Amino acid sequence: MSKLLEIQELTRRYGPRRGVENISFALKEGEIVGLLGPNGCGKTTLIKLVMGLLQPDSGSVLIQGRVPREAHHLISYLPENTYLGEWMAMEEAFRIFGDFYADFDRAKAERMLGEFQLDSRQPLKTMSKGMQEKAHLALVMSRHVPLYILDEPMSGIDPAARQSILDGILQNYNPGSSLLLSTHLISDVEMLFDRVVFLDDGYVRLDRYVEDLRAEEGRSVDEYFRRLYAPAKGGVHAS
Amino acid sequence: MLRKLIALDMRAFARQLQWIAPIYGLLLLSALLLRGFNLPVVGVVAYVLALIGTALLIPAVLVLGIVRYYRHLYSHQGYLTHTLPVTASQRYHGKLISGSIMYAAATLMALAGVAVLMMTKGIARGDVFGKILVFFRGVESILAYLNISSFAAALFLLGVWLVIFLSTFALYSLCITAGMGRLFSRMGMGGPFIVYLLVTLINQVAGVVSFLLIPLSLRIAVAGDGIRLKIVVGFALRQLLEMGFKNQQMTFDELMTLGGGYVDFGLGSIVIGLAFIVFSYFFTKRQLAKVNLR
Repeated sequence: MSKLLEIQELTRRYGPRRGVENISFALKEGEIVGLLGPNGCGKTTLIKLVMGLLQPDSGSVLIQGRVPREAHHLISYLPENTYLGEWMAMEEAFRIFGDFYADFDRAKAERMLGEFQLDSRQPLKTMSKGMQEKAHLALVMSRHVPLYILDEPMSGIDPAARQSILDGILQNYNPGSSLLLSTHLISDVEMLFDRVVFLDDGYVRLDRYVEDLRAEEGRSVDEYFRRLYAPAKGGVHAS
Repeated sequence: MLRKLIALDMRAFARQLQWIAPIYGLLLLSALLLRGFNLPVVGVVAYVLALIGTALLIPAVLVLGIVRYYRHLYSHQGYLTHTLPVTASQRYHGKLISGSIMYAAATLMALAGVAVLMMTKGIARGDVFGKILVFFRGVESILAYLNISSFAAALFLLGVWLVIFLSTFALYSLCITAGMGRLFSRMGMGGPFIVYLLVTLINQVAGVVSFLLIPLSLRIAVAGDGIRLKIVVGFALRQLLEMGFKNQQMTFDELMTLGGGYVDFGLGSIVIGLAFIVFSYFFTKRQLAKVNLR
């Protein structure tokens, strides 16, 4: 498998505060990687750097050999918060995606919206957070791209809606593509991952294949995560 | 892709126009009917409201342009705008062109409004276009006095109209883009205001310096029954120093006599204004490629 996303020695600070520090890792084609860590550990900063929405202090990001601002056609991105106008209905969002992305599959988007029992004419401002998240997911997963990046797709959502979103990802994910999913709700999604990258205060604390981690540690990813981020109890050391 | 960006903006504008156009139309119609048929008080009120609406139309569209620029590029919607497969240059030009289309639409609406307001009194007198004809005759005599052809005057007005839009766009696009940039990342919405204050201060200083250093003036000279306008290479300050600063309450004729048949007005600040538009164009376009969303 060749490298789809390559991050090298990436650093970004917010004044004296650390965003991400000297991060390096690569994502191969077809891989599903979980970007995990507690709130404020740098997950969203890293994703914004990959998307070109933030500029690094040093280091580089390449997506199939291109810098982020030249690679937007290769990535389908779901940000943490809505990026559509509140007045907008999904019909308008479909139109925008259809206009700008040649790989957007409108029929698939409408089918997903139907499965989520959402109306394409309903404005976003009248939808609940869970409904908005599902609507965005229908939009993002209906593109045929090599890389999907989903930033906290299930935060602030009730467990029933979470399961529905997870199903939406599983059923509509193209097996040939790669997926980078950031979350701190690990137990819900850990069966998805091939690999996990744990971030801690801007650093990569752990980067391991899930199978290896389970076999060597004898724990689920969620259990390992909880122990790793429980300083008072003397967390396990990353290898 | 640029065409699609403009279409996207125009759809948003059309949505805003859904509210503005009917309200403005209603104001004009009520002025036309109520004042046109000489209804006391309500007629005047309707006329004044329509006049205020007409005066506010273009500034309102410019303000909407500012709001849209910020929202689409730097609010949560920026996460979509900046991840669309378009270049920073296309993003900038999209906003510039869609903004100018909206400005043109607002101008046409305002001009139509002015025409309607001019017609209101004429309706009652049975002379609907009387005031409009009087207006054009007045314009004709002013042009004759200034020794300017109608074509040159139209070109000049078009230029002024375009420069008003370009300088407004240059100012707000630069202030928002720089103010939302990394340097002011801790100041929230205060960033653009600080940049605005800095830019205004620099422009003021540059305007004064340009008056002293740029040898370009508009010469107003007496010519027969009227006056002649001419752009000349020379410092307006020189004539000002020769004339002295004695009396600021002089009439136009006294001023002409003192100036030896002509008066020069410095155009340095206009040169600086145009230079600012060019600077803003390149600077803002470049900064849009290096966005740092919060």
